[in-house]
Amino acid sequence: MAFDGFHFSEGAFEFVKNLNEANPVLLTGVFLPQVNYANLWTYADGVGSPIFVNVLEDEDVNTIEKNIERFETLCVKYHIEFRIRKDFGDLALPELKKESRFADVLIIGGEKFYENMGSGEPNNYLKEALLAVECAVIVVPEKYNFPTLNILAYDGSASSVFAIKQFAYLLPELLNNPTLLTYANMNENNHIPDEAYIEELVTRHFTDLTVSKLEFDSRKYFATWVKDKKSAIVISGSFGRSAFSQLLKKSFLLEIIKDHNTPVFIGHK
Amino acid sequence: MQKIIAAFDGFKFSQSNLNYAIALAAKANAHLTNVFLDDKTYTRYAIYDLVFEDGVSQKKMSKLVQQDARIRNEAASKVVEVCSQIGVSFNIHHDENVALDELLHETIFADLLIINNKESFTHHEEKYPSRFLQDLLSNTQTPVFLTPDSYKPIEKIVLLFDGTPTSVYAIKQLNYLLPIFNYLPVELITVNTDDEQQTIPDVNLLKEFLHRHYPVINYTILNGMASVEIVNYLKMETLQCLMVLGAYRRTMVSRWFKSSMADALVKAFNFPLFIAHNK
Repeated sequence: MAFDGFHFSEGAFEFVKNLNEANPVLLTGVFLPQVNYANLWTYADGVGSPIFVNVLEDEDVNTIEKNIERFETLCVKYHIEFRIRKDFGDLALPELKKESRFADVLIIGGEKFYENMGSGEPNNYLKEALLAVECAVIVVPEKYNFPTLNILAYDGSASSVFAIKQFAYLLPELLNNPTLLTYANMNENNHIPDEAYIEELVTRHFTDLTVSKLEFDSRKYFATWVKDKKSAIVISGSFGRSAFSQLLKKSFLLEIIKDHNTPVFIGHK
Repeated sequence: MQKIIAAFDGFKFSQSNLNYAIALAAKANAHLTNVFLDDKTYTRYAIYDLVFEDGVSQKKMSKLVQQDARIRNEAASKVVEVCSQIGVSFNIHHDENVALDELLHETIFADLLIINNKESFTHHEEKYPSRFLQDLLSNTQTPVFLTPDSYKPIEKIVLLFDGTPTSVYAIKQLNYLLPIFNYLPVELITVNTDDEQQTIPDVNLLKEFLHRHYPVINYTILNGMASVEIVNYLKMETLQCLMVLGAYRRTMVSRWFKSSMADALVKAFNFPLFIAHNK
């Protein structure tokens, strides 16, 4: 679970708490430092413009310590086995990348993660983190209901199927929930690609499955459609490395994260 | 329940592959999809068998095509019979287009692929790994369980760790897909090229992760050239091991899975390999 040091995400912690009740977890709180421009990733096709952040003041250090203390207190209270990682130096993303390599899932509070960075939402730092990590990511809003409905955002791509598989391995406690396999493609092509194949796979994992073809332009309306679903989690493929075009392609996903209403599970290798 | 696919060449049916597939599916309570790659361009007869002085004999061709179909159907019937007897959940796919493309497409929609390590989908001899296998391992969308020529139940897990993200990825995938093996003895082997160094890359993070999944695990550090040292070390092994290694993207071949390493393991041992790559 990654925090940016300044901001504690109650929503993300609540999610872990629920998971831990079903199946005990080891929770590593990764308290990343504030960063400056020089320490951002230098993707040639980067997704953001330069970002400047104030240097740490004493008051800020106190805030970080308070957040760590809160994390410890909550873990003890809810009987969650935990570790704390801090004092990373300046390189936030490389550290997060390595931590994620040795983790099953990374949970990030979508509203609170470096919320002071970047003017757009989700902020550039969150987008960079989603590109960099090496395990599945769950982006959690601050106010939501723990999922009782799975929405599988299948677009025919291998990455969307990979996400569905990873979700099934990592969150088995949610597999008996009602599940919608939605064909969320950008174009108006009116058939579900490889429908027999995807059904053959998905019915093995999800016991209460409905296949639904969305009869609207999902690029424009998928986020709105999701918003109407109560207590849902959206399962989607990763952004991939060809950054900018992928970000556009997955704009519906960014919309959902931006809406701060529904947790999103993003499969990631 | 997971979906395991087992790939077969109906002309050169691998009994060992079927045995491993059924054993894993039964143990993991998984659904087994048996994929017969009935590639139309891959036949037992040669084109010149059909050509006579007066042209191509349609009668002869029809006879040869029927012969091929019969052999492939017999292999599939054998699978149906054994799966029914054992009582695993199963179905059969007959994929008739180019074998490699069909199988890669199947891997997108499967949790695990099981295939014999000699599979080549050609009639001429090929040195291991065959071109088919190389292309498959480079582009598969699911981890691959490579089976040897004879079946023996797995008694131990050996994780080959070289510090790369892909070797960690392979370990994670094994744990997700075959947690049935978590109770077996587990050994992690790493090799330092430096003769004296006794370190494991990212040891603290690695141990913290592994101990969540494998309560008892032995760590072995070897020194020297990986393909030589690992083979020498495993020659002393008495248990049937499942070797777990990251691999194999043509553009970013893992240090471990150069063909020499895979070749050495396959030639020296009758061990199955579990291979996964993360890019």
